[in-house]
Amino acid sequence: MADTQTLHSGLAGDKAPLLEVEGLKTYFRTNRGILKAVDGISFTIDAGKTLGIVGESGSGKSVTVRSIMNLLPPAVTINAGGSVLHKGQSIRSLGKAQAKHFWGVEMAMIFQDPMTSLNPVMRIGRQISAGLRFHLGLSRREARQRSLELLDVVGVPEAERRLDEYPHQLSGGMRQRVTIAIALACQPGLLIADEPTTALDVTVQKQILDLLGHLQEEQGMGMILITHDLGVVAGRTEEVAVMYAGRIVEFADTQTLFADMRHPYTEALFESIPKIEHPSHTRLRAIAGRPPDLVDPPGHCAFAARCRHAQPRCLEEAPQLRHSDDPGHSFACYFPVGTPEGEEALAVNIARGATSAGLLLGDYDAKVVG
Amino acid sequence: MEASDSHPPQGAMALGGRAVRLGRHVANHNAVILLLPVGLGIILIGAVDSSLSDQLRWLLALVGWAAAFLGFRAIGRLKWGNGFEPGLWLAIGWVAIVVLAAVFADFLPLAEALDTVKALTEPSRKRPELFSRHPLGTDNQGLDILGGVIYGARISLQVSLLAVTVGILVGGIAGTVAGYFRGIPDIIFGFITDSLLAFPPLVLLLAVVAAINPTVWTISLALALLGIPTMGRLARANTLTFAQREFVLAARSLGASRRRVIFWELIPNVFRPLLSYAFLIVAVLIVAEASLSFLNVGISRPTPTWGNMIAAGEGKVKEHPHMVFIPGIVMFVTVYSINRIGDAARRRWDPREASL
Amino acid sequence: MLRTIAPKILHLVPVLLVVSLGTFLLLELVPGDPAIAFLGEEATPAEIEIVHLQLGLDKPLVDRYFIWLGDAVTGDLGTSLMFPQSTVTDLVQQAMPLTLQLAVMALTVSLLLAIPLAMWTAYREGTTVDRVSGAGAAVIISLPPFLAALILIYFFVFNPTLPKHLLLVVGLVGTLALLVKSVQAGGKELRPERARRLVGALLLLLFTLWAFNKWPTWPRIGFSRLTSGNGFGENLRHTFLPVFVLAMTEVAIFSRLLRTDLIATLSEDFILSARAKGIPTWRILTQDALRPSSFSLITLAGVGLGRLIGGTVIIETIFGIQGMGRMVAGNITTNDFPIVQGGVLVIATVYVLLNLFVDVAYSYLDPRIRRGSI
Repeated sequence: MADTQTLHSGLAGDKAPLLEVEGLKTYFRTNRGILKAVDGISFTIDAGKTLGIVGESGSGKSVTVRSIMNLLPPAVTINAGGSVLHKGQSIRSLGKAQAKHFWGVEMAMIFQDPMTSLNPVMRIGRQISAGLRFHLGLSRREARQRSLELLDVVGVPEAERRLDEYPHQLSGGMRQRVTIAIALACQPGLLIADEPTTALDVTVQKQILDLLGHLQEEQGMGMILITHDLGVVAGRTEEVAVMYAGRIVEFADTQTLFADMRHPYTEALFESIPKIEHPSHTRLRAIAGRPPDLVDPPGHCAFAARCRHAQPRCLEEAPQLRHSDDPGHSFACYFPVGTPEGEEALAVNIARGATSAGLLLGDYDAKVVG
Repeated sequence: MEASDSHPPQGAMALGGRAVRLGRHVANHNAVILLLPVGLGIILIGAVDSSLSDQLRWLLALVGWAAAFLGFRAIGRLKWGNGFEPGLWLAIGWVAIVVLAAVFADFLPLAEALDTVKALTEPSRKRPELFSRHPLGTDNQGLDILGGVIYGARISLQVSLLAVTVGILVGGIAGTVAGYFRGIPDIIFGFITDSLLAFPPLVLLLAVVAAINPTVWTISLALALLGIPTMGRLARANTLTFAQREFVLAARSLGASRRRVIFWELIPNVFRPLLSYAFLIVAVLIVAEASLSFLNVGISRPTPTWGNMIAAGEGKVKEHPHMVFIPGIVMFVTVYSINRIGDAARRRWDPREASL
Repeated sequence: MLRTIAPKILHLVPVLLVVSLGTFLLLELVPGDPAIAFLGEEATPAEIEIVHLQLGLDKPLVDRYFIWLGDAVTGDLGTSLMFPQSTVTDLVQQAMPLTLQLAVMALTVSLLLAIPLAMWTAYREGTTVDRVSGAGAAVIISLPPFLAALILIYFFVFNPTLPKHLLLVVGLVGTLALLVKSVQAGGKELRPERARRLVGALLLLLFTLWAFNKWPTWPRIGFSRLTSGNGFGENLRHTFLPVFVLAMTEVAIFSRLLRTDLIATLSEDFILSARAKGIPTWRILTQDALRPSSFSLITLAGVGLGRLIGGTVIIETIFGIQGMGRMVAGNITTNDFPIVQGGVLVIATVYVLLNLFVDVAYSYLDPRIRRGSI
């Protein structure tokens, strides 16, 4: 693929990686035209590693993983290109017999809201054992036994009783543990967690994230952790991909990303996190503007309209992912943060009072920079 | 939605898909417009040429209609874009024709359709022949079927429109009052509607009609009984929703009396969804009236209604199917058209409701 | 849960009272003297007197009502005016089984057809199959039942070659399609699926050939009771067409309403979870999707049964079946009031009880209500 680079974790050996996504493009047919939800994504995950995907709503992070898991509605989805390899084998062209016991066994997924992702009128036990009985052929008793074990592993107390209860009888955190149990039932090699804690209380969030990390270590699973919250990926992932408008705009080891972020969007995300050290009444820094319309994407950098660094070049062509000295750190920007070109661009814009894209910069921005 | 369908379709499915794409390409091409006159021509041949066998004529009619429809759709799409719904406009056209014919029935050059004495000299049970004196044939007593169908349309429309009006007015006002005042009026209202709705509809109709003398007015009122509880409940539900909204409170805070609030704020908003249901209710009532006259408990001969015309032909359906099927087809197309219009009206004015 | 059911049952009593009152008061709606309405203009005073006594018209209204109600509750619905040796209760007992059989058969058939159809069109929403079935449903719903019945009679009874050959064509095409699909399901791992399709094709072929050969002549009118000596086959032969007509409308209504519900359910997140588990589509449809939709299905079925019980009037009249509907409708023209009143009362009571049952069943089956959390 000419316009994207394959991003390797740097630890790839001779064995084929657990999951290798190359140039993935997923478009949707809508009334207004073709919506390019994902427009060329590439990444690799190895067993036991965690990849974090960060981005705001509409960035394409959910579509990416749902496309990988083959969960998108076929009538409106166009698989416009790219490949997805699982242990070296393409999963786009699985034969029917192979596909039957692939999803849910090799790869599993948990979703954002456990109240809606569990069937409200079916008992918990049945929902857990559905996969066990279909994929592993367990008998009802065996499946029940295994379900009990799973509930123990995820930390649900009084598991025996819970099996016969309905989702609405459990608390939010408990329900999410159940969905994790369901996902782990057939011991998948890869777990995808799509915003697993967004719908939960803050106190419960940490518990669930800790649980996920712990389970991953125990079972040696690979994991993709999707979130819009940079704080979630800190310390819990090895690598982070930042997505915007259907593309990866920055990719790095987690530590590198936080210490040395390059893309203005990543910086903006980071700055928008409220920090406990700040004095009271500190104004929250939102990112101005809105995500671009993906039905008619601009041919240039998608973030230009909201970027403090925007220069005329940004409005002409879209920057491609490239890496600097560190091959594990790539970003798609002409005037990245922390580089001479970037700082110059920002200074020019502040002096002007507006970016080349017309975004007004006020004293606040100047103050932050100065 | 196929979790296991990860390869492109093969074999017969792909061929079929390609055929459909080809068909769609042809259909989208402007030459399709020609199908309209071609189709109409085919229909005409089938209708007029009596030397052809019956089967062949029906086939021609079918093919002709299909072609004409496609041509019509192509023209419409060309002029008004892809949102053009040929079915809807055909429905509107048909209903317009029926209404006009019913209103101006007396001025149309029809053969005798009402007076059996005058029809004594006419041939009875004559088959339809399009350009003769009796284009749609005659019935048992020599009365013209085309005329009967038109006068029957008049009765159907009169009865159903009257019943719907009464139903919406009475039911709507009762429901609004019940919903706005709550308390005792609401309890009484609930009681009456529950009781009316406790009867299976046709049985209720039969029971009422059993006692009364069936004329256009009495049948209309009996049919209105069917509509009042449903309209009333709908009005009440809408009132409950609207009464809590800010603009009612705003009116009250400006000092508007309760009556004023009801008339000027609530009723316009409550009645709009009711009106959108009006079409569908009319269709249901036309069928109900026809059922009654079919069972010989509604309006009876010699006044022709669609129902009693079909009933009259029932015994001879084998030898003379036209006596049943001509009024039957007219009735079906009319009811279907009204339903179609009603669906579109509902989608436009009451978007919360899902259509069938 | 008793707390939710009890008020509904209590509500039943006043409604039934009003139903009985309404039915009773029908007599009062008659313009003029009911006796004359029944006997005709040339009735002698003596005859009028007899009818007055029979109808109890000598007593005041309130007394009459309570006597009538009391009698009705104990099972005495009065006597026919026309045939004084037949009590209305007898007539009802004779007529009710026929109506019930038609209604229950129609309901069963329509559910068996509508549920798979709804699942298929919900799953394949927006495709040609869906739109064709939607148009078909709209057509059927706009077709008045008596017209549908007459059309079916015209073809099945009087011109049987057309439906017979149509069945043959459909059966053969279906068999061929299944054969093609079974060949398509290549690969050794999918042997059970191929075998299933082959067996299906064979069964369909056998059925088509058998039906074509053994095509019975459908009767124009009449009914053969299950209790008569003629057996089930004869009964089926007589009920086929009436049930077909009744079921047709119900299938159209059920399948579209259930489809809407299923589409809403299918867009829920837990369906996505089930798919992520790798559960095959048809299993998701039947297990995960059907469950939440089953509540509306029960309501639909209950309402449908009520509609059927009240609506068999037309069908019974056309097909000459002596059920409740025909009893009521037929005696309206003769002004045999006790029969009409008794019949209406029975039908309305059954209808009310049915609706109550559906209400209660709904509360019982929804686990959120049952456990008292709603």
